Amino acid sequence: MAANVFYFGDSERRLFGVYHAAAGRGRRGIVLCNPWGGEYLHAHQTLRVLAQRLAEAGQHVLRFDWYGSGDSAGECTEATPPGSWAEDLGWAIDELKDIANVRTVSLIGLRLGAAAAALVAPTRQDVKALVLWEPVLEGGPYLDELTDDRASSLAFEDTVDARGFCLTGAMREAMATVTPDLIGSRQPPTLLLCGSHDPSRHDRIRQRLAEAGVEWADEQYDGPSIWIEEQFGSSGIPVAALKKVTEWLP
Amino acid sequence: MSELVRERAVSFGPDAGLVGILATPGGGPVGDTAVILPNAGVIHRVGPNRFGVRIARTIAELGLPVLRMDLSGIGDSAPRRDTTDLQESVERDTDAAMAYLSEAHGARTFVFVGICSGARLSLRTAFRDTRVTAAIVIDPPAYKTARAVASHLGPRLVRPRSWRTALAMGNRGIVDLVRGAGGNAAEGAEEAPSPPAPSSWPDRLPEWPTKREMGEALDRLVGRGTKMYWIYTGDAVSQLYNYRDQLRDSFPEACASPHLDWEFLEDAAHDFPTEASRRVALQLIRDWLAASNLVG
Repeated sequence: MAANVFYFGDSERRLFGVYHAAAGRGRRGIVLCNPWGGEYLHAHQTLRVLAQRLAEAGQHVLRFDWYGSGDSAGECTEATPPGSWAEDLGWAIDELKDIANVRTVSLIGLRLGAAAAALVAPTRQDVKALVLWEPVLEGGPYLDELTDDRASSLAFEDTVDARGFCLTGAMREAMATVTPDLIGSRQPPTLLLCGSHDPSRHDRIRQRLAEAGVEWADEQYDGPSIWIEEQFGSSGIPVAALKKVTEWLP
Repeated sequence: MSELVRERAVSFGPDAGLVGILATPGGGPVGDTAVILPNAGVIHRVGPNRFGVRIARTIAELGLPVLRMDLSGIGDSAPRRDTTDLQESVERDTDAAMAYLSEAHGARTFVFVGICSGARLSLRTAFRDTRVTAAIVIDPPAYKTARAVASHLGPRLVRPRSWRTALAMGNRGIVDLVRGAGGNAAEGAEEAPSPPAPSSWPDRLPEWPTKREMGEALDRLVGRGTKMYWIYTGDAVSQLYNYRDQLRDSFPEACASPHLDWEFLEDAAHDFPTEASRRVALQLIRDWLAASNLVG
């Protein structure tokens, strides 16, 4: 089936999107929230397959690129995720509701995209469910991962090369503030979805979900970490993860 | 992206199954030439580290419309249903891209810009279609020269650890060390890397041409006036391309033509992971397009 590709947003912030229409009379919408940088490139195929499967299951799906990433306007250095991504996500939710004629949406956030989804979800009454897929909700360790000596170098001024993408000082400041405290009591029902290797690494998130009194589910899957470069192109699609998402969503 | 460039999402080809982003100069195109950027490997149309986006916007700012496209089955393009042969599929995809740009935008000639597999595709398309009047190829196939082999082997042969490892592996290890085994680009010998696909040479340039085939292809391309800029990075084929004029030493006759230029970015990696390497490459592309009279 031909992809429905288009730009939306306003003239100052043109965002690229791909709309997957629901099979049958779908009444629900889903917005996928990409990871940052190289992880986005490596996860692209999996997220496309996820969108197709969700559409086949009767959901309207919008994949989109954050401002300054992918095919959207802007340069990588112009964004300060996840905070600046909140505006983009707002546009995406409104766009999906408009084109699919749905009243509510669910958000699926992968890696740093999960942080943006967690930021936005409690602020909007039209967001009814949230999937945090291998979420990056601890910015400090994430930045360490991006900027380890092997991977990073100074690009210019206060910007470093981080696994192929520019990481400005403003971005590092924004990412460093990300903690599980993003999760508040007004979070919609949430699925925490993680790979089965070392599940304890997300214990702080589990603790916060419990503290906040959020209705949440904890699922793990066996499958590749498709956002990692070393597994890109060779590891296949994590079908177990896609199955858990599809089965959990309302 | 500057205000000089406008981007829109397009679908084209059979059942509108091919997807691309068309970047057009804000003031309208200069002339009737359009640029096509096919995929680099299996990365979707944005390119490695989003470098495809930067290349397209840079060229569009100079006045040429640029289509970054996903080949069938890659990115957001649908798989082809009319063939299962990969080479035939990509050929039909590039034909569809040129047809789209001709019909929708009046393009009559084309420039292909490709990285890695995109570079090989760009050369194959230029070879078979005279409407392709120029190509910028980044990390195309490389061919060994005596100097390249000596540069590669020399440091290894004087390193005691290399010999210890080779001796531990027995006869195979010593042979590999002396032959400088490694890398995956075309060999300087006449046979192509395994497994060799059925060759359609001389009508079509193979995916991995032998040195002889590439030499004859280059002679044909420069003979018809096709302008080419070959750029090698320091690590993709580093075992097989390790000094600037290796291309000239491989194909001296073709390189004597004013239509063929080349560059070696020794400090750049295959996927341009640093901003510095991207900026250097973009400036080279700007300068070459201007010098080639392809832009105003």
